[in-house]
Amino acid sequence: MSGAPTLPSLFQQRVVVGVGDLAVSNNGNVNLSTFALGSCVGIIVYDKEAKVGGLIHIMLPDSTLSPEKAQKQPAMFADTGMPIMFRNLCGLRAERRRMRAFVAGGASVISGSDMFKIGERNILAVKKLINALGIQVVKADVGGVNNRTIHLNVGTGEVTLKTPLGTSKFSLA
Amino acid sequence: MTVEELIQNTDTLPPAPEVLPKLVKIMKDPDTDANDIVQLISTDAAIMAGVLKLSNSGAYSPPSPVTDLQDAVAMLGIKEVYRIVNLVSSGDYLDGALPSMDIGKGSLWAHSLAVALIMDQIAKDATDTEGLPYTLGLLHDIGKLGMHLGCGEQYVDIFKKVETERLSLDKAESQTLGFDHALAGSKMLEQWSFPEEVYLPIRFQYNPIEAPEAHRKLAGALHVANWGAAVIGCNDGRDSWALDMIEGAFEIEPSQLEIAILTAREQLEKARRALAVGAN
Repeated sequence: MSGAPTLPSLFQQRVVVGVGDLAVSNNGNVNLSTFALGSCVGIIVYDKEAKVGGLIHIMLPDSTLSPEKAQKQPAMFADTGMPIMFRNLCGLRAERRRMRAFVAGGASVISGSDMFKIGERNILAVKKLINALGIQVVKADVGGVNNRTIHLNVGTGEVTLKTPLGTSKFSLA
Repeated sequence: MTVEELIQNTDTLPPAPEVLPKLVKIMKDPDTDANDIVQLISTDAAIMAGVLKLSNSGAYSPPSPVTDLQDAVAMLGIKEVYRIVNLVSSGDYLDGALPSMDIGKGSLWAHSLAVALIMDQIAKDATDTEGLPYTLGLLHDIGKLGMHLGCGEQYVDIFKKVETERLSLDKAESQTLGFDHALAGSKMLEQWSFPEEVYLPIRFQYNPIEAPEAHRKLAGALHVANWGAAVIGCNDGRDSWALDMIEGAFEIEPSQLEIAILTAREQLEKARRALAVGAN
Protein backbone atom coordinates (compact mmCIF):
# COMPACT_ATOMS: atom_id res chain seq x y z
CA MET A 1 0.00 0.00 0.00
CA SER A 2 2.92 2.32 -0.54
CA GLY A 3 1.73 5.83 -1.49
CA ALA A 4 -1.74 5.36 0.03
CA PRO A 5 -2.82 8.27 2.24
CA THR A 6 -2.61 7.65 5.98
CA LEU A 7 -5.79 8.08 8.03
CA PRO A 8 -4.74 11.34 9.74
CA SER A 9 -3.73 12.89 6.42
CA LEU A 10 -7.29 12.41 5.11
CA PHE A 11 -8.52 14.87 7.73
CA GLN A 12 -5.84 17.52 7.20
CA GLN A 13 -7.07 20.87 5.96
CA ARG A 14 -4.84 23.46 4.36
CA VAL A 15 -5.37 27.15 5.10
CA VAL A 16 -3.47 29.28 2.61
CA VAL A 17 -2.35 32.65 3.88
CA GLY A 18 -1.99 35.15 1.01
CA VAL A 19 0.22 38.21 0.75
CA GLY A 20 -0.79 40.67 3.46
CA ASP A 21 -2.89 38.13 5.31
CA LEU A 22 -2.75 36.15 8.57
CA ALA A 23 -4.39 33.10 10.14
CA VAL A 24 -4.38 31.48 13.58
CA SER A 25 -5.78 28.10 14.54
CA ASN A 26 -6.10 25.61 17.37
CA ASN A 27 -7.42 22.87 15.10
CA GLY A 28 -4.89 20.04 15.08
CA ASN A 29 -5.97 19.00 11.58
CA VAL A 30 -5.03 22.33 10.06
CA ASN A 31 -1.90 23.14 8.08
CA LEU A 32 -1.17 26.85 7.70
CA SER A 33 0.74 27.64 4.50
CA THR A 34 2.08 30.63 2.67
CA PHE A 35 3.71 30.56 -0.74
CA ALA A 36 6.34 32.59 -2.57
CA LEU A 37 7.76 34.73 0.21
CA GLY A 38 10.16 36.95 -1.68
CA SER A 39 11.07 40.24 -0.05
CA CYS A 40 7.98 39.66 2.11
CA VAL A 41 8.50 38.12 5.54
CA GLY A 42 6.50 35.22 6.95
CA ILE A 43 6.32 34.59 10.69
CA ILE A 44 5.10 31.33 12.18
CA VAL A 45 4.34 31.30 15.90
CA TYR A 46 3.48 28.17 17.91
CA ASP A 47 2.49 27.39 21.50
CA LYS A 48 2.95 23.66 22.01
CA GLU A 49 0.98 23.44 25.26
CA ALA A 50 -2.11 25.17 23.89
CA LYS A 51 -1.48 23.57 20.46
CA VAL A 52 -2.16 26.93 18.86
CA GLY A 53 -0.35 28.28 15.81
CA GLY A 54 -0.36 31.38 13.65
CA LEU A 55 1.12 32.55 10.37
CA ILE A 56 1.38 36.05 8.92
CA HIS A 57 2.71 37.11 5.49
CA ILE A 58 3.74 40.75 5.68
CA MET A 59 4.70 42.76 2.63
CA LEU A 60 5.99 46.07 3.97
CA PRO A 61 7.45 47.23 7.28
CA ASP A 62 5.55 50.37 8.13
CA SER A 63 1.87 51.32 7.84
CA THR A 64 2.54 55.07 7.88
CA LEU A 65 3.01 54.64 4.11
CA SER A 66 -0.77 54.29 3.75
CA PRO A 67 -2.93 54.26 6.88
CA GLU A 68 -5.96 53.76 4.64
CA LYS A 69 -4.59 50.54 3.11
CA ALA A 70 -3.44 49.42 6.57
CA GLN A 71 -6.96 49.80 7.89
CA LYS A 72 -8.31 47.73 5.02
CA GLN A 73 -5.65 45.02 5.25
CA PRO A 74 -3.57 45.41 8.45
CA ALA A 75 -1.52 42.25 7.90
CA MET A 76 0.08 43.90 4.87
CA PHE A 77 2.36 45.81 7.25
CA ALA A 78 4.54 44.48 10.09
CA ASP A 79 3.56 47.18 12.59
CA THR A 80 -0.21 46.74 12.17
CA GLY A 81 -0.37 43.01 11.36
CA MET A 82 1.83 41.44 14.01
CA PRO A 83 -0.01 42.84 17.06
CA ILE A 84 -3.27 41.48 15.60
CA MET A 85 -1.76 38.02 15.11
CA PHE A 86 -0.49 37.92 18.71
CA ARG A 87 -3.84 39.15 20.00
CA ASN A 88 -5.64 36.43 18.03
CA LEU A 89 -3.21 33.78 19.30
CA CYS A 90 -3.83 34.87 22.87
CA GLY A 91 -7.56 34.74 22.11
CA LEU A 92 -7.07 31.00 21.51
CA ARG A 93 -5.34 30.67 24.91
CA ALA A 94 -1.79 30.75 23.64
CA GLU A 95 0.62 32.46 26.04
CA ARG A 96 3.44 34.70 24.98
CA ARG A 97 5.99 33.13 27.31
CA ARG A 98 5.40 29.74 25.65
CA MET A 99 5.38 30.97 22.07
CA ARG A 100 8.21 29.95 19.75
CA ALA A 101 8.66 31.63 16.40
CA PHE A 102 10.13 30.98 12.99
CA VAL A 103 10.88 33.88 10.64
CA ALA A 104 11.45 33.47 6.87
CA GLY A 105 11.76 35.68 3.80
CA GLY A 106 13.24 39.11 3.18
CA ALA A 107 14.99 38.15 -0.07
CA SER A 108 16.66 40.74 -2.23
CA VAL A 109 18.07 40.96 -5.75
CA ILE A 110 21.05 38.83 -6.71
CA SER A 111 23.34 41.70 -7.68
CA GLY A 112 23.57 45.46 -7.99
CA SER A 113 22.20 47.81 -5.39
CA ASP A 114 18.82 46.97 -3.94
CA MET A 115 18.10 50.65 -3.47
CA PHE A 116 14.64 50.14 -2.04
CA LYS A 117 15.79 47.50 0.49
CA ILE A 118 12.28 46.22 1.20
CA GLY A 119 13.47 42.75 2.24
CA GLU A 120 16.05 44.15 4.63
CA ARG A 121 13.60 46.68 6.11
CA ASN A 122 10.97 43.97 6.58
CA ILE A 123 13.41 41.76 8.50
CA LEU A 124 14.45 44.66 10.74
CA ALA A 125 10.86 45.67 11.48
CA VAL A 126 9.86 42.09 12.33
CA LYS A 127 12.88 41.56 14.59
CA LYS A 128 12.15 44.79 16.43
CA LEU A 129 8.51 43.89 17.04
CA ILE A 130 9.29 40.32 18.09
CA ASN A 131 11.94 41.54 20.53
CA ALA A 132 9.55 44.10 21.96
CA LEU A 133 6.97 41.36 22.52
CA GLY A 134 9.58 39.08 24.09
CA ILE A 135 8.91 36.15 21.75
CA GLN A 136 11.59 33.50 21.39
CA VAL A 137 12.75 33.06 17.78
CA VAL A 138 14.07 29.52 17.49
CA LYS A 139 14.95 29.66 13.82
CA ALA A 140 15.21 32.21 11.03
CA ASP A 141 15.85 31.77 7.33
CA VAL A 142 16.08 35.29 5.99
CA GLY A 143 17.77 37.32 3.25
CA GLY A 144 19.36 35.67 0.23
CA VAL A 145 17.97 35.53 -3.27
CA ASN A 146 15.36 32.79 -3.16
CA ASN A 147 11.60 32.65 -2.76
CA ARG A 148 10.42 30.58 0.21
CA THR A 149 7.29 28.61 0.98
CA ILE A 150 6.47 27.73 4.60
CA HIS A 151 3.93 25.45 6.28
CA LEU A 152 2.93 24.84 9.90
CA ASN A 153 1.19 21.68 11.07
CA VAL A 154 -0.90 23.04 13.94
CA GLY A 155 -1.34 19.58 15.48
CA THR A 156 2.37 18.82 15.82
CA GLY A 157 4.16 22.18 15.54
CA GLU A 158 6.16 20.84 12.62
CA VAL A 159 7.37 23.49 10.17
CA THR A 160 8.28 22.81 6.55
CA LEU A 161 10.45 25.25 4.63
CA LYS A 162 10.72 24.92 0.85
CA THR A 163 13.13 26.84 -1.37
CA PRO A 164 14.44 26.13 -4.88
CA LEU A 165 17.48 24.64 -3.08
CA GLY A 166 15.50 22.02 -1.17
CA THR A 167 13.05 21.24 1.63
CA SER A 168 13.74 21.14 5.37
CA LYS A 169 11.57 20.26 8.35
CA PHE A 170 11.87 21.11 12.04
CA SER A 171 9.64 21.44 15.05
CA LEU A 172 8.48 24.43 17.05
CA ALA A 173 7.00 22.09 19.68
CA MET B 1 22.44 29.94 -32.28
CA THR B 2 22.13 33.69 -32.80
CA VAL B 3 19.15 35.77 -31.78
CA GLU B 4 18.32 36.19 -35.48
CA GLU B 5 18.24 32.41 -35.95
CA LEU B 6 15.99 32.09 -32.91
CA ILE B 7 13.55 34.65 -34.31
CA GLN B 8 13.58 33.31 -37.85
CA ASN B 9 12.72 29.80 -36.71
CA THR B 10 9.01 30.19 -37.36
CA ASP B 11 8.38 26.50 -36.65
CA THR B 12 8.93 27.08 -32.97
CA LEU B 13 7.74 30.64 -32.38
CA PRO B 14 4.03 31.46 -32.13
CA PRO B 15 2.34 33.34 -34.99
CA ALA B 16 2.44 37.13 -34.90
CA PRO B 17 -0.49 38.91 -33.27
CA GLU B 18 -2.44 40.94 -35.84
CA VAL B 19 -4.44 43.47 -33.87
CA LEU B 20 -2.17 44.58 -31.03
CA PRO B 21 0.71 46.14 -33.05
CA LYS B 22 -1.83 48.10 -35.11
CA LEU B 23 -3.66 49.19 -31.98
CA VAL B 24 -0.47 50.49 -30.37
CA LYS B 25 0.29 52.43 -33.55
CA ILE B 26 -3.13 54.07 -33.78
CA MET B 27 -2.99 55.03 -30.10
CA LYS B 28 0.05 57.19 -30.97
CA ASP B 29 -2.15 59.27 -33.23
CA PRO B 30 -3.85 62.09 -31.29
CA ASP B 31 -6.73 62.05 -33.82
CA THR B 32 -7.64 58.44 -33.01
CA ASP B 33 -11.25 58.10 -31.94
CA ALA B 34 -13.49 55.31 -30.71
CA ASN B 35 -14.56 54.33 -34.23
CA ASP B 36 -10.97 53.61 -35.29
CA ILE B 37 -10.55 51.26 -32.35
CA VAL B 38 -13.89 49.51 -32.84
CA GLN B 39 -13.12 49.03 -36.54
CA LEU B 40 -9.73 47.50 -35.79
CA ILE B 41 -10.95 45.14 -33.06
CA SER B 42 -13.84 44.02 -35.25
CA THR B 43 -11.35 42.39 -37.62
CA ASP B 44 -10.57 39.67 -35.07
CA ALA B 45 -13.54 37.64 -33.82
CA ALA B 46 -11.60 35.99 -30.97
CA ILE B 47 -10.39 39.32 -29.57
CA MET B 48 -13.83 40.83 -29.99
CA ALA B 49 -15.40 37.96 -28.03
CA GLY B 50 -12.70 38.26 -25.35
CA VAL B 51 -13.31 42.01 -25.01
CA LEU B 52 -17.06 41.51 -24.60
CA LYS B 53 -16.57 38.71 -22.07
CA LEU B 54 -14.14 40.70 -19.96
CA SER B 55 -16.19 43.90 -20.22
CA ASN B 56 -19.10 42.04 -18.65
CA SER B 57 -17.01 40.41 -15.92
CA GLY B 58 -16.85 41.31 -12.25
CA ALA B 59 -13.67 43.31 -12.93
CA TYR B 60 -15.78 46.02 -14.58
CA SER B 61 -19.35 45.30 -13.45
CA PRO B 62 -20.99 47.48 -16.13
CA PRO B 63 -24.36 49.02 -15.13
CA SER B 64 -26.03 47.18 -18.03
CA PRO B 65 -24.74 44.29 -20.17
CA VAL B 66 -22.15 45.20 -22.79
CA THR B 67 -23.43 43.64 -26.01
CA ASP B 68 -21.16 45.10 -28.67
CA LEU B 69 -17.88 46.97 -29.02
CA GLN B 70 -19.56 50.39 -29.27
CA ASP B 71 -21.19 49.66 -25.92
CA ALA B 72 -17.84 48.66 -24.44
CA VAL B 73 -16.16 51.88 -25.57
CA ALA B 74 -19.10 54.03 -24.48
CA MET B 75 -19.31 52.46 -21.02
CA LEU B 76 -15.67 51.80 -20.21
CA GLY B 77 -13.89 54.40 -22.32
CA ILE B 78 -11.14 54.04 -24.93
CA LYS B 79 -8.36 53.66 -22.36
CA GLU B 80 -10.00 50.73 -20.60
CA VAL B 81 -10.94 48.99 -23.85
CA TYR B 82 -7.32 49.40 -24.94
CA ARG B 83 -6.20 47.65 -21.75
CA ILE B 84 -8.70 44.85 -22.28
CA VAL B 85 -7.50 44.25 -25.85
CA ASN B 86 -3.94 44.11 -24.53
CA LEU B 87 -4.93 41.54 -21.94
CA VAL B 88 -6.94 39.38 -24.30
CA SER B 89 -4.24 39.47 -27.00
CA SER B 90 -1.31 38.76 -24.71
CA GLY B 91 -3.02 35.91 -22.86
CA ASP B 92 -2.53 33.56 -25.82
CA TYR B 93 1.21 34.09 -25.58
CA LEU B 94 1.75 34.36 -21.83
CA ASP B 95 -0.66 31.95 -20.16
CA GLY B 96 1.26 28.73 -20.82
CA ALA B 97 3.89 27.14 -18.60
CA LEU B 98 7.61 27.51 -19.38
CA PRO B 99 9.03 24.34 -17.78
CA SER B 100 12.62 25.12 -18.79
CA MET B 101 12.48 28.12 -16.41
CA ASP B 102 10.24 26.48 -13.77
CA ILE B 103 7.49 28.95 -14.61
CA GLY B 104 4.05 27.43 -13.95
CA LYS B 105 0.94 27.82 -16.06
CA GLY B 106 -0.49 31.32 -15.75
CA SER B 107 2.51 32.62 -13.83
CA LEU B 108 4.17 34.54 -16.65
CA TRP B 109 0.86 36.21 -17.47
CA ALA B 110 0.28 37.13 -13.82
CA HIS B 111 3.83 38.50 -13.57
CA SER B 112 3.42 40.48 -16.79
CA LEU B 113 0.09 41.84 -15.61
CA ALA B 114 1.64 42.91 -12.29
CA VAL B 115 4.40 44.76 -14.18
CA ALA B 116 1.77 46.37 -16.44
CA LEU B 117 -0.25 47.59 -13.46
CA ILE B 118 2.84 49.05 -11.78
CA MET B 119 3.97 50.66 -15.07
CA ASP B 120 0.56 52.23 -15.48
CA GLN B 121 1.10 54.13 -12.24
CA ILE B 122 4.79 54.99 -12.28
CA ALA B 123 5.44 55.67 -15.98
CA LYS B 124 2.44 57.62 -17.21
CA ASP B 125 4.49 60.84 -17.33
CA ALA B 126 7.27 59.15 -19.31
CA THR B 127 5.32 59.08 -22.59
CA ASP B 128 2.58 60.91 -24.47
CA THR B 129 1.21 57.67 -25.91
CA GLU B 130 -1.86 56.58 -24.00
CA GLY B 131 -1.58 53.07 -22.62
CA LEU B 132 2.02 52.48 -23.74
CA PRO B 133 3.43 51.78 -20.22
CA TYR B 134 0.74 49.12 -19.72
CA THR B 135 1.58 47.44 -23.04
CA LEU B 136 5.29 47.46 -22.20
CA GLY B 137 4.57 45.77 -18.88
CA LEU B 138 2.49 43.06 -20.48
CA LEU B 139 5.00 42.33 -23.22
CA HIS B 140 8.30 42.87 -21.38
CA ASP B 141 8.98 39.14 -20.87
CA ILE B 142 7.66 37.86 -24.21
CA GLY B 143 11.29 36.96 -24.98
CA LYS B 144 11.14 34.25 -22.30
CA LEU B 145 8.54 32.47 -24.41
CA GLY B 146 10.84 32.66 -27.45
CA MET B 147 13.81 31.42 -25.43
CA HIS B 148 11.84 28.56 -23.91
CA LEU B 149 10.56 27.42 -27.31
CA GLY B 150 13.77 28.00 -29.22
CA CYS B 151 16.54 27.06 -26.80
CA GLY B 152 14.90 25.93 -23.55
CA GLU B 153 17.41 23.10 -23.11
CA GLN B 154 20.12 25.70 -22.48
CA TYR B 155 18.53 26.78 -19.20
CA VAL B 156 20.12 23.95 -17.21
CA ASP B 157 23.49 25.62 -17.84
CA ILE B 158 22.08 29.14 -17.53
CA PHE B 159 20.63 28.47 -14.06
CA LYS B 160 23.85 26.75 -12.99
CA LYS B 161 25.58 30.03 -13.84
CA VAL B 162 22.94 32.07 -11.99
CA GLU B 163 23.32 29.95 -8.86
CA THR B 164 27.07 29.37 -8.78
CA GLU B 165 28.28 32.74 -10.05
CA ARG B 166 25.36 34.76 -8.58
CA LEU B 167 24.55 36.35 -11.90
CA SER B 168 21.29 37.95 -12.91
CA LEU B 169 19.31 35.89 -15.44
CA ASP B 170 19.93 38.30 -18.32
CA LYS B 171 23.69 38.25 -17.71
CA ALA B 172 23.78 34.44 -17.42
CA GLU B 173 21.83 34.18 -20.69
CA SER B 174 24.18 36.60 -22.43
CA GLN B 175 27.26 34.71 -21.24
CA THR B 176 25.81 31.36 -22.30
CA LEU B 177 24.01 32.24 -25.52
CA GLY B 178 25.38 35.62 -26.55
CA PHE B 179 21.99 37.29 -26.09
CA ASP B 180 19.33 37.63 -23.38
CA HIS B 181 15.53 37.29 -23.29
CA ALA B 182 15.13 41.08 -23.43
CA LEU B 183 16.88 41.20 -26.81
CA ALA B 184 15.00 38.12 -28.03
CA GLY B 185 11.68 39.68 -27.00
CA SER B 186 12.59 42.98 -28.61
CA LYS B 187 13.44 41.22 -31.89
CA MET B 188 10.21 39.21 -31.79
CA LEU B 189 8.18 42.38 -31.28
CA GLU B 190 10.04 44.17 -34.08
CA GLN B 191 9.38 41.24 -36.40
CA TRP B 192 5.71 41.34 -35.37
CA SER B 193 5.56 44.99 -36.55
CA PHE B 194 5.29 46.66 -33.15
CA PRO B 195 6.62 50.24 -33.21
CA GLU B 196 10.04 51.00 -31.69
CA GLU B 197 8.29 52.68 -28.72
CA VAL B 198 7.45 49.12 -27.68
CA TYR B 199 10.47 47.05 -28.62
CA LEU B 200 13.26 49.45 -27.63
CA PRO B 201 12.33 50.01 -23.96
CA ILE B 202 11.92 46.22 -23.69
CA ARG B 203 15.32 45.69 -25.31
CA PHE B 204 16.97 47.92 -22.68
CA GLN B 205 14.95 46.96 -19.58
CA TYR B 206 18.01 45.48 -17.83
CA ASN B 207 20.41 48.27 -18.78
CA PRO B 208 18.22 51.36 -19.21
CA ILE B 209 21.13 53.75 -18.95
CA GLU B 210 22.28 52.50 -22.37
CA ALA B 211 18.87 52.96 -24.01
CA PRO B 212 18.46 55.70 -26.68
CA GLU B 213 17.43 58.83 -24.83
CA ALA B 214 13.86 58.82 -26.15
CA HIS B 215 13.25 55.39 -24.60
CA ARG B 216 15.40 55.62 -21.47
CA LYS B 217 12.67 56.60 -19.03
CA LEU B 218 10.35 53.80 -20.06
CA ALA B 219 13.20 51.27 -20.02
CA GLY B 220 14.08 52.49 -16.52
CA ALA B 221 10.47 52.25 -15.37
CA LEU B 222 10.35 48.64 -16.64
CA HIS B 223 13.56 47.91 -14.73
CA VAL B 224 11.93 49.02 -11.49
CA ALA B 225 8.43 47.64 -12.19
CA ASN B 226 9.86 44.18 -12.89
CA TRP B 227 11.39 44.23 -9.41
CA GLY B 228 8.11 45.55 -7.98
CA ALA B 229 6.28 42.49 -9.32
CA ALA B 230 8.72 40.28 -7.41
CA VAL B 231 7.89 42.20 -4.22
CA ILE B 232 4.22 41.18 -4.49
CA GLY B 233 5.19 37.56 -5.06
CA CYS B 234 4.57 37.64 -8.81
CA ASN B 235 7.88 36.40 -10.06
CA ASP B 236 7.51 32.68 -10.37
CA GLY B 237 10.36 30.63 -11.74
CA ARG B 238 13.84 29.69 -10.79
CA ASP B 239 15.10 33.20 -11.50
CA SER B 240 12.70 34.99 -9.11
CA TRP B 241 15.35 37.24 -7.58
CA ALA B 242 18.05 36.82 -10.24
CA LEU B 243 17.75 40.50 -10.99
CA ASP B 244 20.37 43.19 -11.14
CA MET B 245 19.18 46.56 -9.83
CA ILE B 246 20.93 49.54 -11.37
CA GLU B 247 20.99 52.60 -9.18
CA GLY B 248 19.54 55.66 -10.89
CA ALA B 249 17.80 53.60 -13.57
CA PHE B 250 14.55 55.43 -12.85
CA GLU B 251 13.87 58.38 -10.61
CA ILE B 252 11.08 57.64 -8.18
CA GLU B 253 10.47 58.23 -4.49
CA PRO B 254 10.52 54.91 -2.59
CA SER B 255 7.17 55.69 -0.96
CA GLN B 256 5.60 56.46 -4.37
CA LEU B 257 6.85 53.13 -5.69
CA GLU B 258 5.59 51.24 -2.63
CA ILE B 259 2.12 52.76 -3.03
CA ALA B 260 2.16 51.77 -6.72
CA ILE B 261 3.12 48.21 -5.75
CA LEU B 262 0.36 47.98 -3.12
CA THR B 263 -2.23 49.34 -5.53
CA ALA B 264 -1.10 47.00 -8.30
CA ARG B 265 -1.48 44.06 -5.95
CA GLU B 266 -5.10 44.97 -5.22
CA GLN B 267 -5.87 45.44 -8.91
CA LEU B 268 -4.10 42.23 -9.83
CA GLU B 269 -6.27 40.07 -7.60
CA LYS B 270 -9.37 41.50 -9.25
CA ALA B 271 -7.99 41.05 -12.76
CA ARG B 272 -6.78 37.49 -12.12
CA ARG B 273 -10.24 36.47 -10.98
CA ALA B 274 -11.87 38.04 -14.05
CA LEU B 275 -9.35 36.57 -16.47
CA ALA B 276 -9.07 33.13 -14.82
CA VAL B 277 -5.31 33.35 -15.40
CA GLY B 278 -3.82 29.88 -15.83
CA ALA B 279 -7.22 28.17 -15.86
CA ASN B 280 -7.57 27.60 -19.60
